[in-house]
Amino acid sequence: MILGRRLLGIFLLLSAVIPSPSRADLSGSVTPVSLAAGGVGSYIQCPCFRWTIGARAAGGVLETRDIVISSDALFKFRMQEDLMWDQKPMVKMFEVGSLRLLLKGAHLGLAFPGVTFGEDVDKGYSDFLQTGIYALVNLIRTETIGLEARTGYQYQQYRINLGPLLEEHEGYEAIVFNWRRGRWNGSLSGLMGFENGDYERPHFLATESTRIRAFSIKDLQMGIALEFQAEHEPFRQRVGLEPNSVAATVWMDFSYIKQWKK
Amino acid sequence: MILRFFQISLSLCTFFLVSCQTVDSNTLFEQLRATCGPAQTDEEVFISVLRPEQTRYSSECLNILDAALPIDHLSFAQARSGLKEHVLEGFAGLALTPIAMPPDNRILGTSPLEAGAIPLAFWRIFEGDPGSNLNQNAFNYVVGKFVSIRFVDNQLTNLRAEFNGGRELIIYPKFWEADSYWTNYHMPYGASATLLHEARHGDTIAHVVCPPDSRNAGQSECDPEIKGAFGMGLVYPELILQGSRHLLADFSLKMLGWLMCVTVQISLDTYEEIEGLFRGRDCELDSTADWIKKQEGWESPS
Repeated sequence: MILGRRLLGIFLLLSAVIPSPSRADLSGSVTPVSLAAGGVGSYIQCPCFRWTIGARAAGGVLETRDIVISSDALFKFRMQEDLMWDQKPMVKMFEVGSLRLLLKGAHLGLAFPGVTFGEDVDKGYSDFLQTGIYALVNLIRTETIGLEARTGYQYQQYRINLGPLLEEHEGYEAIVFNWRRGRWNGSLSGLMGFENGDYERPHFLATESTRIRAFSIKDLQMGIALEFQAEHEPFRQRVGLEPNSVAATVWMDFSYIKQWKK
Repeated sequence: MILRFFQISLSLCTFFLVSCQTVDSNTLFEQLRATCGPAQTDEEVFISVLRPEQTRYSSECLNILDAALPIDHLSFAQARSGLKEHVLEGFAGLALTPIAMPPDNRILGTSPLEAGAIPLAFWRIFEGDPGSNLNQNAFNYVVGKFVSIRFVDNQLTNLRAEFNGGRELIIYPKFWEADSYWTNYHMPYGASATLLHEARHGDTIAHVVCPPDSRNAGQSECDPEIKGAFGMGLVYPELILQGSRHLLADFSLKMLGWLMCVTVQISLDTYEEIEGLFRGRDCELDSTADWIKKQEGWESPS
């Protein structure tokens, strides 16, 4: 409840101070569609290899002198399966509504990571639903690097192995570092969260991703990316499942990106 | 250029691997059901473990599989007499031994997880679409995983079978040995469980290194959760217990109990509640039919 009130307070503060942008101020980019395909190798929790495909739509950044409104994509879809081996999808996840607002002068922001829903057979989840909200402090923001601290709340509900519907409330702190140099960009992030008020067994998540823009033709880009993820999820241990996982993903993407500057 | 080559290679591989799968497992399943007849009780039929030169199913029944499955006959010519028939018996058992999901998602009456014992991945394999036939799903699942079934005469390996990267099912001499009573899974149920185990690897799921305090410490012979290949050795016998309860002789109950016991003791000790069932037990002596019935809540031990 305290966290909820704090987030509401930050939201109201931001709403009061956000200036109205004029058209002349606007710059940014829009990514109407992006398609990706690749492979995921994971170990410990699921010693598996999967092919993965993904689609994103309606992403972009709108920036004025005072604010930045951005979204990875308002609609995301991700599927993992053994494409070659005629297996049914192991992971089918949809995400809608991800949106983020940054107040440049105050270095503060608020984000809604969207609503994620679907099924992850490898992890045993069905009827999966996740949403939340987080506030951020933008510590560094230059043309080449960015560093921000986040505090947020996440809600999840799911069934494990078709069992009863379980709910999970998590408060978390995260730090995210982004960089961009020429064709390359990437991010490094760490998260520590506490699920259902269990302060003795924190949830840890670390991710690293690097992407290179291999080539571009006008507004069409092709990129190749490598991602690593390591996670410790104590709630899985509580239901008798392996709590640790590591995964590496290689994918290539085709993105249509329209950019403009003021 | 390299990327384009990679893309083209991937497309060709995908195309050819999928097109290699020529066995129509649904038709094969129907043929088997029509030819081999309804499931019979263990007392009505011959149990292969007692007279190993024969199989549970008729040669007419096994010939259907022999003709349809992608068997490398040249390689099996090197195998001892009867081995190929026991591989086919394993396939036939998948189609013909009635199976059912257990009530409350339990294994031997226990539920090691808050959400039950049988993982979602296995429900998706066996149950498939609502209303579909579990035997047909299991049979289709296994048949669809292999493009080739080949015998390799490796007398040194302790493996019974192996799934390799070329989607081949490799059968080793220890899959079936006429002179060994327990360790070679003589029972058709054991052969079917081995096929399911290897098929599960076909979902690109590997084993992990066993923990230091386990029997196979340091070897890649363990699974972290029931959803892996070893889980099939635990879950499939349970499905047989549920689906064939009234067909099974006490000897078969004992064999199914033994199969579950060795699976847990050697390679799947993740779950305390299930591991506790078999802790300190002699798999061969203690997995009695009465014990199985008691665990399942069917009747009290006499």
